[in-house]
Amino acid sequence: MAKQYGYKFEDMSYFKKVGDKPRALPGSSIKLDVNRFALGVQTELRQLTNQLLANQLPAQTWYDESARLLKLSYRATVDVSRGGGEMTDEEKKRWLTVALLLLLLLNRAAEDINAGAFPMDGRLTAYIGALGAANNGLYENWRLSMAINLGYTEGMRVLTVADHCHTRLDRPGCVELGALGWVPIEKVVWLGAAVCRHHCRCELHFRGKKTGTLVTQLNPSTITL
Amino acid sequence: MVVPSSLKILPAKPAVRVSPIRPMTLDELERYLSDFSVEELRQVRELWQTHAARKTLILFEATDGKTIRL
Repeated sequence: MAKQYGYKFEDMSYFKKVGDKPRALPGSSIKLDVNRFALGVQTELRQLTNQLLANQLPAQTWYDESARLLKLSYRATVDVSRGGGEMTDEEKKRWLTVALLLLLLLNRAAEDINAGAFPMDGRLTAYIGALGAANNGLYENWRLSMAINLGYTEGMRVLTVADHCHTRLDRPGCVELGALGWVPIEKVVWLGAAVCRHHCRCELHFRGKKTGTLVTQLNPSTITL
Repeated sequence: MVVPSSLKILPAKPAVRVSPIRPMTLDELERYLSDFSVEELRQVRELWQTHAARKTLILFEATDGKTIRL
């Protein structure tokens, strides 16, 4: 897959082509960049929103720019997690589903602003910034669906350095999900489905590959934002 | 209760008023997310370059002037 672009993606790992010998790009470096990217996009979105709140930016421009930034950033994250190459039909559908779900959250904010129901203060800044933070969840969820398609059988939620959420009412918390350790891959809870929703900073790890076995397809209805 | 004279109650900030926003409809959003022009793909790469390290830039494909329609 995508061998012609100076790297190769195989079995959920990336390899740099250095001469004839491919050298692995460590997953931790990629993850570090994904986190840095999510933070950067979050900061840009917050700045845009602060300009709106300071009446320095027309509301429509704020919406258009936020939508553009989200579209570009989600595409970047998806490109990094899938490792390049042409998107399959299933991936195209998945891209539309996840990107639409997140952009609809921006629409909801816009509609609430129009209705005068959204507090025009730091809460709006935080809400919009979190849509940028969703890049982390997008990366992990995309890898989860790839792991399922590749036949991995178990997954584990790993808590990164961040404040993590606890189970509340019917929503699971990342602390409790992390404590479960390895679980069957179909029971791995998507990032975004926990109490912290799309702010989630967790990582997902996979193991137990059954080569060539297609376990299941991503069911978009299981993604809750 | 005696309020020290050094404490002042700040006046409330005037509410922020913005002009109405026209969000994209579901159809418009679907079309918007399905099309990536060459320029947009360049911006995708640029955005990654701005916020993430250059080390992982290698993960982006060269677009070679193609328009990618999903």
